[in-house]
Amino acid sequence: MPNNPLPGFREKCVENLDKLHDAGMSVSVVKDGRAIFLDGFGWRDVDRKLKMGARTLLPIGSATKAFTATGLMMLQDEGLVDIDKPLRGYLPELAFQDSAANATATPRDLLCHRTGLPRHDFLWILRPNIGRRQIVESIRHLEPSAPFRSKWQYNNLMFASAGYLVERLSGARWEDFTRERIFKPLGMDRANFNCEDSVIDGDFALAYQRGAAGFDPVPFSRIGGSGPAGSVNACAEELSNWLRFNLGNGAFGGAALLKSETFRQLVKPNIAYTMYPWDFPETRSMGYGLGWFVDCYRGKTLVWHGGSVNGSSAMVGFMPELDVGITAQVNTAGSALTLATMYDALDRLMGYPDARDWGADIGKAMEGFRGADDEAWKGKVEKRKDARTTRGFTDFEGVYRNEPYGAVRVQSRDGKPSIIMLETSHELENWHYDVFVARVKWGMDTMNTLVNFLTGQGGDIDALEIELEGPPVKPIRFNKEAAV
Amino acid sequence: MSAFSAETFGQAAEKALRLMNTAGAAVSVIEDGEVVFSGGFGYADIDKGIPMTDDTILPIGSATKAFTAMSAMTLQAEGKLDIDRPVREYLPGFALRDPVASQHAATRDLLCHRTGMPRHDLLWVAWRDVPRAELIERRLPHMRENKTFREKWEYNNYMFAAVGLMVERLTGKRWEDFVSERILAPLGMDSTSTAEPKPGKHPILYKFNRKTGVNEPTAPMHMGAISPAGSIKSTASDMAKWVRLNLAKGKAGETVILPPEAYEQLVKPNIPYELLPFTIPENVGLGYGLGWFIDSYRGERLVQHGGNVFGASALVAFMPERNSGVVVLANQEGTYATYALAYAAFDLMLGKSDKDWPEFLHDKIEEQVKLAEGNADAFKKCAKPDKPFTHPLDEYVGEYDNPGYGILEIARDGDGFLVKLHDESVKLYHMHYDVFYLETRGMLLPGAFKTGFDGNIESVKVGFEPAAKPSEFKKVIKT
Repeated sequence: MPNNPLPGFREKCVENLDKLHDAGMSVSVVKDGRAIFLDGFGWRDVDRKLKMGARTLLPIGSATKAFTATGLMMLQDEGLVDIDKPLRGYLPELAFQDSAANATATPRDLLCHRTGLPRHDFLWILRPNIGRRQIVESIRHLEPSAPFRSKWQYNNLMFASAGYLVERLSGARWEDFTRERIFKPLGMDRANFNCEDSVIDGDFALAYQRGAAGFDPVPFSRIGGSGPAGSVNACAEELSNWLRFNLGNGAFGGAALLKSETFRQLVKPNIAYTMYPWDFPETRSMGYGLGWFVDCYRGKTLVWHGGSVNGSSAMVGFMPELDVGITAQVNTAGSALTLATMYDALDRLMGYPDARDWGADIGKAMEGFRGADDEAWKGKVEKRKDARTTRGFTDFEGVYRNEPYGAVRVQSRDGKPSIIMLETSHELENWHYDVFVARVKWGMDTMNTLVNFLTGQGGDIDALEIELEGPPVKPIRFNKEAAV
Repeated sequence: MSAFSAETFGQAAEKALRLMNTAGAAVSVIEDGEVVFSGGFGYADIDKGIPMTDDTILPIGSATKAFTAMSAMTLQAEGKLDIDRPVREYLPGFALRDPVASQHAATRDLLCHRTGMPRHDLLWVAWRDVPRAELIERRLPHMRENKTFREKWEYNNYMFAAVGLMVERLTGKRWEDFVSERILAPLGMDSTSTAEPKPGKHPILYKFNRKTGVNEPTAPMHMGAISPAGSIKSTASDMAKWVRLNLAKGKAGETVILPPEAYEQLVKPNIPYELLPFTIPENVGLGYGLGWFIDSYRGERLVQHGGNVFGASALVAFMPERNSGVVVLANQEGTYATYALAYAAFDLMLGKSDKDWPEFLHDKIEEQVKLAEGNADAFKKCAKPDKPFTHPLDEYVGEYDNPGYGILEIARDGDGFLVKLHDESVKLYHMHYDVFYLETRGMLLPGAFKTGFDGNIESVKVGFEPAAKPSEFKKVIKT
């Protein structure tokens, strides 16, 4: 192919897929207003040997956030909202514990993660059926971990709230609004908000985690109430249109979906961020825009956002000055491949082919990070010797409740002390005193977390605390219900 | 024509002192603007047989609050203060945990106990030499509220100290000097002071020991930082001058200390209040003014304020429409004889004789004391047997910090612990596991140590303010 604009890219994708042990990957690359590369690698279904293609539907995870931000900006163009006016005027049901945030927070603050709230993801993880309005109404109960606008702290609930704001302003469900106003004009006809719809479509990728003997399928993420933070599924081919829209400053096929000055708000940094625990000198963060990270990559602006849900990873990135963009989606959890593929493609487009082996370097960086994370709590919490609880397990048994997290139950299951959260039973092991370790499974992840049972003035256990968010946010306290 | 009878009153007074184990009481009665009685009952010093007199110097305790409120109103009358503007505009360091209260609390809210903040008195009681600015601008902002802003009446001494501090910032004069110069001096209250008592007749202050049945001498309370809420020491005859100033709506002879329209603000109810744990059918609370309770007593408006400090109880009360008032100052801690004497005096002036106030109040108080004792016993009895501390005892020892209360020190004491907060040390009574209580001045304070995720003792909670959630003190890790 004499005019191959990306010599060596396809080979590198194949090499990295193998080296990083991922099941399959789907890629689109856009340059000068057209897709110059659309292809799939590996398997969308490992057992049935179904090939991943450019038309295979995969989750984009948190890359959904840019769709939510874009939708809200469309409503600003229509005069329905000013993203710099206090939210209270638009969403009275949304309140913050921090009085300054409560009085002052604007839609912009939601879209750039600077309200002072940390993730608090367990709110929707522990309550998978929580509605969008319930999420909004729960925010008043959540403890901030930084003063308002003092630092960037990633928060999915704020995008759920922004999606809810879209609903309140437009009168349409966020999903319907996004389909009508963005998917349709961009020809993203197969894009959807629910993995079940991808299954009905037929050309979809199973979600995997790496197992001892290959790839183990994992259930799809169920993202309902928090959809505007990460529920979109799309294929590389359709996502290339999304790249063209963004590289076109909000216009697609000759029609402006957004005023260009409104579009520029989306990709203009609002607040400094740090995210990855590694540092590559090629890339420097400039800040978080609205649903987009904005970096300086090899001296040029790179607008991007990753996504990660059960058994999948995704990356969407574009460089406005160079009029190039790329999407990469992988059907394997915790993959370094999407980021590596984006940097590798950009290097080739910018004239630095193979300047770095991104697959190897990011893979290595991520590996070290993953191991550290998994065992982190053990180093923090050394088990005290000869310090078992002096209580019988029946003292701890019962239902414990928290607003807004809901109820957890402590009871013996098959003779083993257990805590039941998320309809799932997790084993409890006495660590020391009345502190237990719970091995909590959620989605496809497992997390060791400590559960501390607290004695009330009457001498009985009256509450438990779980470190769901981590300092400086206080452990989440669940009060024991009186036995009936 | 005076309806007041010194003889009948004397009988009631003697009965009240006897029934309510009260050492002595100094009394002034003003009827129709004139002092019709000024004298003492019982003893200033029981052992030496020194009688109580109208020139014995006694603490008036919280009856001081009306002086502080009047000080603020004089500044308002001079245009230096608007009591309905946020306190922060005058005292920028003023802050409360509740952001709404913090931002919006006005001097009026401070002077009528509606910021939502409960007492938290044990801190300033324990911390004798804390500077006023430290207490108000550094400690109060961390104290826990138990009500939302302006929701309910909640008695609080800090707020009056805050107003005192504000007076100082606005005038450059300490509250102590401002009150002395602007109120005490023009009234000729020459035996009265805002800080240390003036030279003169000083009584022994008593606290009745219910177990031994003996009235025991007790040390005076060190007011210091909290003075604008309760430090004034005076005599019954000096306080009569104060009552007459109030009956004259801010005028002492020809001297205007406060214009009448400004004065009226002080005795106008701002918020309903509930103080006593029992009802007195003849007396109905109308609301709290500014440093004054406003009641309706047998249908007459009664403006009053009591005072309770270590070893002393006081009551200042007047009926504006009757131009009459009563001052009772007793050298006895926590006695309701002050109310018995005041009600008895007012009844004489109102021509009523249907109520034996010493008897009635004595019975009511006994009921309350028994109830409290029962509650205390029940509290102690819920201790579970054979549930020792969970950790080796030395692991509890150390300093624990709360941004409001400061450092709480836990030290070993035999096979138990001593708990020290600033200048006060009390024994820790173990209940079960890491749960305990403290006992101080008749109050049982619940407490518990908390084990962190790492298995170490990370904090201790103590209910220093029973009306609010216990305060958490985090263990200070020394490196």
